[in-house]
Amino acid sequence: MANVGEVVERLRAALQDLRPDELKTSAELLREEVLVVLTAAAAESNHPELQEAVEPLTGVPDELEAAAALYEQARSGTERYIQQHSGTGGGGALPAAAAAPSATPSSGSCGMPRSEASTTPPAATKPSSTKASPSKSKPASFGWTTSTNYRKTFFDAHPDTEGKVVVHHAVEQQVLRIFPGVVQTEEVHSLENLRGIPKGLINNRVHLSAIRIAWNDFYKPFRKSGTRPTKQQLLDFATMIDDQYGTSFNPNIR
Amino acid sequence: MGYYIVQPEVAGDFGDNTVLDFSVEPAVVTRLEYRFSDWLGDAILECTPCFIVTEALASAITDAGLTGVEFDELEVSLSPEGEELIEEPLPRWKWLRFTGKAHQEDLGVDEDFMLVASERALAVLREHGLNNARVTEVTP
Repeated sequence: MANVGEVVERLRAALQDLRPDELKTSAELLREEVLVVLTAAAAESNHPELQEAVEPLTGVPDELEAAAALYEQARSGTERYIQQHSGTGGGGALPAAAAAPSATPSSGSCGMPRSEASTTPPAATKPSSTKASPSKSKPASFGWTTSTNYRKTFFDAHPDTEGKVVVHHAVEQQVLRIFPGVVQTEEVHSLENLRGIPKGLINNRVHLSAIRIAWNDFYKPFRKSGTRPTKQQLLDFATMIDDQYGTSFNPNIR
Repeated sequence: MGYYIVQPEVAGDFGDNTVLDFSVEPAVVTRLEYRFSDWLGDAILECTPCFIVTEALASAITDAGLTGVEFDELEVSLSPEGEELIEEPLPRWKWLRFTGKAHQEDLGVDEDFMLVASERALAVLREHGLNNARVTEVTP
């Protein structure tokens, strides 16, 4: 019977240095080979420690596949924006580094389950932040507010921006409607979820368009499968958007 | 006949009067309110899984005899962002409803919610404004 610690170390080694395009292959390997053996061994062993160790691993293949889908959607949105605006002279083409995010999961984040109730196994893929140093990249988050007047919420906090920016939701308002129950109204309209987009520059309107396209692409696999993203998946995607466009926001968040 | 994947501009999101039927998978939209946040000028827009077209484009699609679609009414509104960013009055819009199969009709939606257009449908779309869409030829 395999030692539980040895099994964990082997799995940890297998998950290290994964490329996003290998996530699906790894998911299949785990599901069809490793977990089959582990589950059978745990069932036959009557060893509680082994059984307890195997149980949380059964969701990992689904989480890896969800992470791969999330990466592909993010990359697709980014590539669309670059193709549309390459060579247009100031149309806001993304830096090369941001166009090809490595999306390498940091330690502990690959397949890390979250406690959100969801029909989709949670997979908190930490997006790459190729433009800002880790110490400056604040992940997207939700706060809590009882006010739905989000513009007032934003301008009360940033009075110097009033008249100069349009207020934009990092995680879109429509998730309340299309994925009910994942996030609360009080979270969506909280200050932490609001961004100021400077007015008057066509570049910023183009950025907003690219952001809407990216979110639209993000939603598609969930709609197709009839599942819902977790709150953490929404926040991770918002963080990626912040990483790519946050230097254009007012206040600047990157 | 050649086909193209068309990924249109996304000019907004679902307004509060949009109704989704979650009793089926994937959920279907039974009533559409398209809430504009901005508009860069294209004649066909998306908010997955829905597509809308200007009335002028709808007429052109009908006049050209393009297959695979019919049109429905929708509600159009502006978000606070849209009120600030959109200076010109919006044209009138129609909700594009698909009646056939992608890669067989002139217009269709595939299983990934991608708009699939025939070559002649793409030409009609381009005549009315497709500057902000990504168009990819489908390789057989």
